Amino acid sequence: MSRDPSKAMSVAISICQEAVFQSISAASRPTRCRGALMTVFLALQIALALQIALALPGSAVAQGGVQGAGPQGAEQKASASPVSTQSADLSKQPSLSKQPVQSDSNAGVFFVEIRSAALRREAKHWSPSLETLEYGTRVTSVEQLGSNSEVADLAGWKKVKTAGGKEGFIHLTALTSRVVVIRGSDTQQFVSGNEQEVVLAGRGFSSDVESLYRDSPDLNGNGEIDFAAVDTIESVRIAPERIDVFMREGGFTL
Amino acid sequence: MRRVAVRWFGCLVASVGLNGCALFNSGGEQTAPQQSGSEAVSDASSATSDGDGNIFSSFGESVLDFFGVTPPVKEFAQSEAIVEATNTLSREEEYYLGRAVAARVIAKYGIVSSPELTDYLTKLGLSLVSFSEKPETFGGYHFAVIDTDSFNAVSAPGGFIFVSRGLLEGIADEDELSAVLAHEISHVTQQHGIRSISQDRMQGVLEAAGLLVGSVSCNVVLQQAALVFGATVDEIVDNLLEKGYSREFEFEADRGATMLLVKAGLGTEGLKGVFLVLQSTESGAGGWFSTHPSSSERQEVLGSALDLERAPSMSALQHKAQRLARFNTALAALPASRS
Repeated sequence: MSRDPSKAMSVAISICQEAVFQSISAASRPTRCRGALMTVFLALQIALALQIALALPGSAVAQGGVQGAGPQGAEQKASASPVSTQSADLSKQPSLSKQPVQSDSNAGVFFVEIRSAALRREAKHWSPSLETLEYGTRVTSVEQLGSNSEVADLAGWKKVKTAGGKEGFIHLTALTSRVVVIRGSDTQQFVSGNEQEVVLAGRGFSSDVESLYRDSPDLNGNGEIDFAAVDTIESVRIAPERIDVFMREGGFTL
Repeated sequence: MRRVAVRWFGCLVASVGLNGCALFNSGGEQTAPQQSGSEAVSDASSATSDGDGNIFSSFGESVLDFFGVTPPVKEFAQSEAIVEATNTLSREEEYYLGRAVAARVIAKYGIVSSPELTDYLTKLGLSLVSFSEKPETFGGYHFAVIDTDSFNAVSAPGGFIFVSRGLLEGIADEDELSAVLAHEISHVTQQHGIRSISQDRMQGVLEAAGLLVGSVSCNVVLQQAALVFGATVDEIVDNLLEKGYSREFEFEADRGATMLLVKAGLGTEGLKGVFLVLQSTESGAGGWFSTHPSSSERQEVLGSALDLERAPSMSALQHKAQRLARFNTALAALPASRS
């Protein structure tokens, strides 16, 4: 349990909120009782928002792998949606506990913004992969490549270090300086920082939405879709070494 | 500080309010609205403010009043907060849109099943991708042959790239195929699929995404998002296969292809070769002929860049025979046309 009163308050409100929401879900048919519960739920949400907003400076607590001191006076700004699951009923998903987290993106922290990124031995696309980093993985910059003429040919690559201490290269287009917020087992991270600095994984168009679309003839042109073929296409994998050979054989620039 | 609190509060109000529309609709069943795709956007947009949900008119209204939230702030909570929280499509969302567009394209044309040919096409495509300005997309780049005799190539958002059987049979060598792929890769990197979505639709897309931000959601919200998703996929597919992208996008893709091919060391001979093929058969119907500007106009727009950058690198020149040989080997694996 945290000794931080701000965090403790957040957690307490979250727990109350979850309890109220479960009560609402369990209740039958619209009643005054449910209306009252919903009002309490909303009030708790507001209380939590205000509590976090007012308590932010100096109270942010690193959690869930995103750590570090953030800029002074940073603002609380976003909530996260869970990473999408196969379940289409989001209302059944557990409410998320809320832990303020400060972004330290200014201190050379980056997040993987694609489904999986290869940490490569060299700053080349078809260099052997040292490790596969999943969406939302936090890495720290070791040095910036391509910042001077001597390493201009490496522009676009960043040497990074994983939480496990492994160093390698990732292409910049696989990274973002914004914080990728992915729900862990039961936590949600609130991130401080400037506006537009958060990527909410699994929000919006997701596998849940795709599932509904796939199963709704009214939406998909009466089944004029072939996701199985798309899955097959996506399953095609070519080893980096084979691409390297292909390029050499064809006389491509290496 | 207050602004942030209000913004965050707005997202919560939206999610809780919509949840309320499912839970508190007086006497009504919790059913998803049945609309056509074209109606989806306006419906999704209105879902935050009015309609049967009446989010702010029942319990929500009283709660807001209780906390002294005035109408202008309510409006802010409904619109600005949501839109600002999700002001752009994420790469993940672009990927899911692309998957659905690809599923529609495949359903229309079918896929040529040839592991050898797919392997070759993927190796060539990925080689070229490494010279692009965006070599990493959320789900990666994928390549396949669609089973149509028309001369065509299309790309779906996120990196799904298709070339037609007719195109493969109509071009001369790997350099021309590289030019076609480079053009399609440029469409992907410049997000032409997403950018071709109309402004009104995009507003609905962003709002639908915003509704799913909150920690509490419901099936009604998800249904609304799926409606918007379907309508957006319809629009992209229509732009891709029927209307074609704008001329501006096509010229952008040509310029991007030129740069990519030059970086790869291949020069622009392949691109010029494709233009010649198009010129000689421009009376043909469908595919690239109907969705792209004329090849002469495209060459004119590219202008001197096409000539100045035409020469391949020494290495590429020395390996031209190898490229042609493997192209011919791959094409030999193309199954006979069903028609």
